[in-house]
Amino acid sequence: VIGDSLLMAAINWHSVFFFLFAAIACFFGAAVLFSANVVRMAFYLVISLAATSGLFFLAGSEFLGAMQIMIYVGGTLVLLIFGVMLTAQEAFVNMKTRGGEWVLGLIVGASLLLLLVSTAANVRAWREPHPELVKYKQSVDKAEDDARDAISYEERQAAWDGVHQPEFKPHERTTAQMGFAFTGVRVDSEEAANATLRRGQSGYLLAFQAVGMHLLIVLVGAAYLSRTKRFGAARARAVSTYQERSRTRGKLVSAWIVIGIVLNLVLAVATIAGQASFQEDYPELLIDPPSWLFPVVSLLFLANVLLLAVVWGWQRWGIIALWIIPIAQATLLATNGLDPRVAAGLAVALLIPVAVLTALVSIGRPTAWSQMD
Amino acid sequence: VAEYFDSLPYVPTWLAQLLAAGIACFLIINLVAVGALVFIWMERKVSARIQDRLGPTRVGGGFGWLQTLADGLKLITKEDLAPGNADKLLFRFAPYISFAASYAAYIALPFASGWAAQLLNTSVFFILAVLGLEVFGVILGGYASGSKWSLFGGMRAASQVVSFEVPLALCALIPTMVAGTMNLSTIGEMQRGLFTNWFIFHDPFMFIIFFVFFTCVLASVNRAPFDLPEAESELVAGFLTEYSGLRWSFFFMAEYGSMFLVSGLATILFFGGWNGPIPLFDILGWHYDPLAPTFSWLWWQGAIANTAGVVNFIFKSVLFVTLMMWVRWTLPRLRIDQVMTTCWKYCVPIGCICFVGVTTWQVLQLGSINDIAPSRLPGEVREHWTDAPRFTPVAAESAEPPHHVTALEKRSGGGL
Repeated sequence: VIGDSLLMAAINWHSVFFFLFAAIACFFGAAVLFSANVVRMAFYLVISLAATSGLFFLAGSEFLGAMQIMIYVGGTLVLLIFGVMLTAQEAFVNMKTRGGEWVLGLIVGASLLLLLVSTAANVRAWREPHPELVKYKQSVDKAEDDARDAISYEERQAAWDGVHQPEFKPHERTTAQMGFAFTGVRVDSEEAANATLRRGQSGYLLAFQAVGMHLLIVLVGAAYLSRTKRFGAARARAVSTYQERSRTRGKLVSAWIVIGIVLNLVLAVATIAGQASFQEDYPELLIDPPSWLFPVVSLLFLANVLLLAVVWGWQRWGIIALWIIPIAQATLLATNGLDPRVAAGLAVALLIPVAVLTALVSIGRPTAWSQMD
Repeated sequence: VAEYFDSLPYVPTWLAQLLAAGIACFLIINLVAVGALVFIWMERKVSARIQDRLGPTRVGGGFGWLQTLADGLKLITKEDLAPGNADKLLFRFAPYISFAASYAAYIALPFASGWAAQLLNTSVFFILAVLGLEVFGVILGGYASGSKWSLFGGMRAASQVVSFEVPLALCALIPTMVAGTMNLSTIGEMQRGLFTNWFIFHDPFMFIIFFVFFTCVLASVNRAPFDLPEAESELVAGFLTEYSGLRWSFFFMAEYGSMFLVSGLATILFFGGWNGPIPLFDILGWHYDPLAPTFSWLWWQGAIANTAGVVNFIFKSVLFVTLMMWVRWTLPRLRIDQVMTTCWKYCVPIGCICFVGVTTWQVLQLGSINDIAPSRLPGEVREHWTDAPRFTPVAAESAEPPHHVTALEKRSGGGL
């Protein structure tokens, strides 16, 4: 080796490329922050994300790197640009950030950064390579050196076979491993030496199915939303009624909302007032409740009152939120000591009036639902 | 290559690596650029013959060999215009993005057994992902031009390419599933031997899916009859409206680059890649071995066999490119709603049905043309996705088979 190349030989090229990709990602990440033009932001974001995928490739996670390109760079950003191009009005194409927003953003960003850094520093496996991986890497390196030094072809072959004898090679067929992990078998943890390391062999079947169902629902939803013709006509009718300010509410709906408001006020008071006697009468049903439980449940009844007022003011989201509150109440009670069966019964009992309200707003002509915003 | 340079005196390791990378870059960029020159000339000739004309006949001899070069010279001398309304930075940058995406996808494309710029385990996926980025340059170019024609052209391109990514991925998935690997080099190696081993002959569903794949590929590289993004006669050249000179030609090079790329992908996935119809070099017993000592007889055998493989591969891919031209000058352009119908109402359902069909074919292990003359060569790996990789249990601990093996056997009815 000639003199000046000693320096070059001492450089860890892996680190050089790591810093190169990291610098590109960070620089364009900052460019997203400091740019005022939405489309340019998207462009800088693409470069930043592509550099991140370069980091994945550098780490040997080819699948993850390609996934990063496919999903983030390809999919999301095309959609983002769609959104930007179709929605950007003059006011939003160039955005100015005010002082208060800077402060808020800095606080949120700094806390996220702190959280991530502290987490990364606390994972022991990330501070040093896995000992088995080191052992494997050393054996491969040695075999490669042997193969390079060997004079005859047979010697090379023998040296190489020495390493690649095991049927399962960790650096190959990662996709097959992932496929097995998704269908419920973690083949990589099978070879681990003890029971602790073999944990989690059951793979990710449930998560995989859940994500699959989620995507299916998203697809169906997208198909439903893109049926513009009929849907659009109903909307147009509703909008025209709205503009004429002649929305009619059925008497039943009005009555039910008023009853609901009164009932919820009563329930809110009753929850606080009846707390002590309930615990006395049925000690086995409610075990060791925290002191905040009943006030919070009572507050949720008051939230119901607010939401009914929202429904009265022709807002659809009020009805949707009304469906969530009883479930939240039951979940809260069940996780804090109430017998789950009682909690479930309570949830059903509280959901029935909501169901009645939903039914009432969807009957009649025109329906109250179609007139709502 | 890096190893060879490293073994030379006075060449340090880092320079050897750099030289090896440089050679790979040089070869690929020349393939893309020279390929574009040849394909544009071919496009002119093919279209002329289909329309009963002669095409270019003057520049550089009787067949107009140098016509593209003359075009290129003309394009270089043109003024580099940017409209006053344009977002200048993005307008200038967009052609490079398109070209870089098309060029970067070549990194993972093997031209012969083990001969790729970078052998990736997930090269099929990588190529599809990077190819999808090409449209990003188109959208940016369309937006940054500051012209409504360009913007609408860009949007049309985006909706078309994004839609067709779905069936394209579905079609590429099927041969990948049969092979059991996403490594294009391995997929090509599995089709070694007689032409009966090509995946297109695996089963009837596979035969159908190739045509769907080809349709999707046409759409995703914006070729006729799906060339709405740049339909010159009806839509004022779409996103290219404001581009001129060399920047315009960058878009063109990107298009021809990805045409060859997807043709290569089709070749490897369905038509045996670099393996000829009759395995001449297998009969001789010559095959590429990455471990052979440089310039030994074994090395030369491998190099010659692989060079023939490269010729094979390029020949097949050029055939597909020619097919694309034939389609372009034969079929009329579709309307945008017809394009979308083709994608969502034909390609996707057919793709799904064929996916289920091929899966069933494999699970039932029905007969296949591929089984007529299976190749049994040294180093050959023929994987079957139902053949679960068997792992020796950690012998010291447990005598019974590991839990996942029994679980798998239960699930597959003991067939493993």
